[in-house]
Amino acid sequence: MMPRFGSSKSKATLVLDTSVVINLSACGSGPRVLAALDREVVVVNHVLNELHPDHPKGHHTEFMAVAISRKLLEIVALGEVGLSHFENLTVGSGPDTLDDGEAATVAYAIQVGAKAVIDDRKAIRICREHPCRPRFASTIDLFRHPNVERDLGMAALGEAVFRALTIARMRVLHNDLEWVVKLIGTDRIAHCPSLPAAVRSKCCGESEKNQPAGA
Amino acid sequence: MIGSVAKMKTPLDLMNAEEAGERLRIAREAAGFTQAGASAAVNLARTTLVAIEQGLRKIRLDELQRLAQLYGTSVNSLMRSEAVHVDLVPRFRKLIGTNDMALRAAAQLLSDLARAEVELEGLLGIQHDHNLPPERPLLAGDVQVQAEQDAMELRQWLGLGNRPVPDIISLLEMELGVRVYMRPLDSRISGLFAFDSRLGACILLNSNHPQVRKNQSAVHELAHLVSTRQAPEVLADDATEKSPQERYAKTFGRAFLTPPRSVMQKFKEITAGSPLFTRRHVIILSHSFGVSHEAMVRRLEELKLIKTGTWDWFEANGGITKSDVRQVLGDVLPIEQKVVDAATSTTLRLATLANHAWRQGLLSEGQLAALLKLGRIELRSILDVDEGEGGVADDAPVWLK
Repeated sequence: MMPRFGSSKSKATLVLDTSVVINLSACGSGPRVLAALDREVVVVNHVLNELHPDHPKGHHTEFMAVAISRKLLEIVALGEVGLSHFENLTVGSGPDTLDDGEAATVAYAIQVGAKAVIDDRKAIRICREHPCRPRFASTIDLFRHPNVERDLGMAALGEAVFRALTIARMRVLHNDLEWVVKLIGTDRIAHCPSLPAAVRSKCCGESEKNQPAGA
Repeated sequence: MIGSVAKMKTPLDLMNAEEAGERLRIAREAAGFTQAGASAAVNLARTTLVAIEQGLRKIRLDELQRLAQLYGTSVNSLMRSEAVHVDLVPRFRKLIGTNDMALRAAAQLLSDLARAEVELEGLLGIQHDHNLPPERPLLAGDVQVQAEQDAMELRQWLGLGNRPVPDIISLLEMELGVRVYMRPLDSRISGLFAFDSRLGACILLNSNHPQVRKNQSAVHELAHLVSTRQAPEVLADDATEKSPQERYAKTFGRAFLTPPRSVMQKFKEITAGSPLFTRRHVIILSHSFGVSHEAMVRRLEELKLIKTGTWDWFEANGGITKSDVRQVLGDVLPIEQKVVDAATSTTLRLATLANHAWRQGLLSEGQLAALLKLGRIELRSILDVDEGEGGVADDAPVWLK
């Protein structure tokens, strides 16, 4: 199945949500992934606030600092149009709204016609249901980009995805599970707690079956 | 008017100004700002902030964003319609010194977690059942006698009889409907207690402490729930034991966790045939009752089952070591020996509610992280539990071929 990310010819700006920055920070090859994508990648300043070192739980500033210094990532602010969407996405009932970083990411994507890179399934649902139909993708879509596969190589890519799964507990949608399992191998799937238990136990069973006799 | 287009009302326009103002006031006070301080920090006239908080003027988005950032919260957290805006911190004001940032932060955390739980219940349509015991205000006379009496009465009320209570924290949560939270706190803080008519009884314990100390703190707060329910309470290292309330709580805790008849019976069983009282006996007894070795020995001294000074003797002669414990209890280490993953510890109920709200798509990861005051990865570790067959996708499970 083609990743939702599409071909590199589209060159849409990518707007990364907090969840995605955390995954890229954990994978250990975040800057290489961004460089391979060869397109404009931005983070809205609301997301930066969630990663700020003074923020009680923020600890991904090193990745951000490197990415920014190498001009792989830019910090942007919402304009008037974006702020209007931001307000609609944050002020209202819980089920219909998002937290600030997520809302700002989607709002910016609408404002400039970019693609919101966001893993949260509620945020994805809101994108699907939004009248402006903002485009969206996930962290896995970044990893699956042909340029990333080419520039990192499958071994390094497998290691990056494995780290994102184990360190950051990256979310993986059902449609991407098969690709993930094939990439990192059934032996390592058991160590990825964010993957469905059914997948982990099935892969564990297969892994045991493949053990040489007497092992 | 012909040719003009009415400006569409935004969500902030539609929001009740008084409600918005009240939320902002609570958030400002929770963050420790005066009106003058907050308005100066965000470049807003003090009179404007006053008008906003009083509901006389609607807040604009740019102002809201600046205030949210100053108060260390988010626009969504402030303005989400189901968000609960009750602040427990002012109740602790008399107990917390003006410079005690650690205690202040703990009181704020208790308030935030209780509000989070109430909001999650509302979203999920769950009613929180209280089953609080009868109140027993302190009377004139010997408070320790009252405490022993009230502890035994509560045991009877709960149907515990004389048997040990292996898990006081679950008892508080499940039987009494007390909201119990565990988070890493400053080491000198053992616990906090507060009661609110909307939030109910709320307790915060220090997840950095070993289990037996948490048990002791939990039952201490239970004592306050029984005797001084309407007053908030802080249990810290520098707490004075001389006040009637503290003497009551200490005695209540001892009587509740180690009721006399139960201790006497167990002591008889464990030491049967032994001419000496040994470390082995201490280890088994304290494991049975879920209390520390020192608490167990001192209780035995108090009940005159062993000589006064026995604990002092143990301390002077090498104490009771982890190796001693392992020898006696083997692989079944007492919970106090286990390494507590303080970074991810949270009580079952709050974790379960968060899990349900996320799986039902009611709140996003960002909203839950802000609500529960957790980092994203910590939150994900909670959401990964009880994942079941549904996995993390929208669709039915895909069985890989």
